[in-house]
Amino acid sequence: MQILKLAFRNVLRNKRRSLVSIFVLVIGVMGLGIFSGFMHFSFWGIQANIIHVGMGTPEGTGHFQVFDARHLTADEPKFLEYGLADWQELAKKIETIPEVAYAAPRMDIMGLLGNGEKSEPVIGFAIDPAKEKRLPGVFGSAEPYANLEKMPDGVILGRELARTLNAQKTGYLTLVSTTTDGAMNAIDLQFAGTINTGTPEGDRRFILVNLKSAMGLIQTDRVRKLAVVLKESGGTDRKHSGAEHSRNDYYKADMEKASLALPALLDKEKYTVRSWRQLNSYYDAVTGIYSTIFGFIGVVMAVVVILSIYNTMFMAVIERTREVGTLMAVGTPRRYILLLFLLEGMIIALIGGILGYGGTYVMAGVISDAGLTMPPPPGGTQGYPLIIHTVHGWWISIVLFIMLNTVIACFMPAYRAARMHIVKALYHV
Amino acid sequence: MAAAQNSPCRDEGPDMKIIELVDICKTYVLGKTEVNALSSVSIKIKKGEVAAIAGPSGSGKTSLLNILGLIDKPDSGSFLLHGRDITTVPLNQLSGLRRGTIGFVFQTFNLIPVFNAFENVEYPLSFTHASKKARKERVEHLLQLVGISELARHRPYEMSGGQRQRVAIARALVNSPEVVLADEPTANLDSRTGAEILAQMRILNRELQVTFIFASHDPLVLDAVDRTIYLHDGRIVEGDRCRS
Ligand SMILES: Nc1ncnc2c1ncn2[C@@H]1O[C@H](COP(=O)(O)OP(=O)(O)OP(=O)(O)O)[C@@H](O)[C@H]1O
Ligand SMILES: [Mg+2]
Repeated sequence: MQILKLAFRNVLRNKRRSLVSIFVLVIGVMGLGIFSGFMHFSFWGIQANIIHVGMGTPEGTGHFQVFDARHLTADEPKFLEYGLADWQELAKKIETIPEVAYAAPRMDIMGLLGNGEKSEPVIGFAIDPAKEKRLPGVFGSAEPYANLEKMPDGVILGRELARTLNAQKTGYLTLVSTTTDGAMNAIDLQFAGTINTGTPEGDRRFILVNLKSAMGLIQTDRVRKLAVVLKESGGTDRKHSGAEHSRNDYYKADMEKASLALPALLDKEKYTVRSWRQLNSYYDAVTGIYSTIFGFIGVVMAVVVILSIYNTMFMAVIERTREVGTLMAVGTPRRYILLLFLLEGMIIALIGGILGYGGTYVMAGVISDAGLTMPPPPGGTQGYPLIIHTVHGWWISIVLFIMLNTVIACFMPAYRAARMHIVKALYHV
Repeated sequence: MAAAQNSPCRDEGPDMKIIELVDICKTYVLGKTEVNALSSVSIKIKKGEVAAIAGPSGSGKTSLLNILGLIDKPDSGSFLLHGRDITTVPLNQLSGLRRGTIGFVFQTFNLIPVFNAFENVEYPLSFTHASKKARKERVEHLLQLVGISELARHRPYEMSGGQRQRVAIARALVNSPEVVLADEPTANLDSRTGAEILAQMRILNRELQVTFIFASHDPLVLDAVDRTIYLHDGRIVEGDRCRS
């Protein structure tokens, strides 16, 4: 069509101006694209941390946790009264679900840990290290769990706690707590290493012990819960290559399958299942904040794009007033004048969109390969690498969003051109 | 009365009358002042004639041509196209009618700068149903008629004023209009080129039976036409003057 040819030539006519417009679109797409890639990486990282490493605790939540149904709704008359007594059979049963790697028993206890000279109040996580050592994957260190596995009467201390109690030198520590009957009890534990929990609070208060030690101390054969971990967990790489991305989707599918299979397997009256997301509200809080920031940046970019394209198009329309008059005089219907300027906008939008997409892809790679480190999040002690995930789905939406804004911005000037009075346009000076 | 004021030069039948304007008035309002650009102008345009609208600057030539060309509306009076009164049809609905009836040639050529000569001439055809082949033949034929076939691939900035005006004439003719309106077609050309352009249009008039109406005060133009309509302060003075 002649109008399309005309639109294309007009875009080429004022190259500098078109390039500036395209540049604005590229910046818009890349700004939103890079941020969305970072956002995706952050969501993914937080998710991985919650599940595999633990946010502020020395252990990840796993994908699901199974509790006695009463535990989450009622107060226990006695400690572990609403724990899981049949946890061994239950774990075996859950492990029959194809997506499930293992179900690990857990119990948390409170007590005082002393070195003979002084004591510190602690929160203990009693675990089965043979299973739990598989959980951190690439996201954290399995070393504390492995150390604990080697020492049945071992104890792993938060870094700060270990320093306060001078645990390395003392070697032996005493953990005092109450049994399920309310009596005081104590066990001797051997220092087996330290753990970095990621927060100063955790490093000062948390310990890991073997489940058997804790059971002896508390005088129980119950556990608090089972942490259910799916197969293929732990990932391979922080950087989200294409393969990694589909792996992440694979988890998602697994999560969905398992979340269907688990309740079907368990007696609903007796057990409650919670997903990692229900167990840790941090993820939803962060996604909420990030989405708000992303929305805000989106609005700012849209305003910048609309104003800049509107301004450019308006100038083009005014400059070409006589040409518009001529086009009309030689028989161009008004709707084609409208179309002409919209097409010019669309051509710029298309070029800007494609270049923006490519630019985002390249830039994401460059930033991810640069090995930059982000400062620790608030309350944290560890920074993390800055990675921009490749999120084609989001990028396509961003490109379409920016292109839509471009066309919207062209509409007013195009409409103005289409409404021009032929004579006034022809003799415009 | 209108007929008396504009005695036809060649008295042909009423079917040869393409356009008839009756008692046309056009007033421009500029702030508080009103300019009577045309006062009670009545003229007839006949098939195959070559006429000029003459008069001093500001006498209303362009205003009259715009109304004739269906790109402007008079404030009062009637517009008859082939005897049919189209005065009340809004401008926006006239583009289709205009395309097949009227071609324009401008003082400043008004070619589309991003199109070459061929594309400029071809452009008005894109709103018709002509096939690609038919278009190509038509455009090539017209470029040959105006004598610039070899410049078909040249953009306007690569052509002289006279060559550009030839392209503009070919463009005005491409939809086979009945009337070509040319406002000061020679004003931006030197006199020799202007004379060539006028001679060209006379040839086209003879070969294609297209009516040419010029608005001009260029004696060269007035010498080249069959009939001159003199305007002064928006009125027709001393009637039409015809040359035998
Ligand atoms: N858009 C307009 N607004 C206001 N006044 C106008 C407008 N167009 C024309 N006029 C006035 O109407 C009168 C006739 O103008 P017109 O352009 O028809 O004259 P013209 O004979 O073509 O003059 P020229 O030989 O200089 O081209 C002039 O007085 C002019 O100032
Ligand atoms: Mg004029």
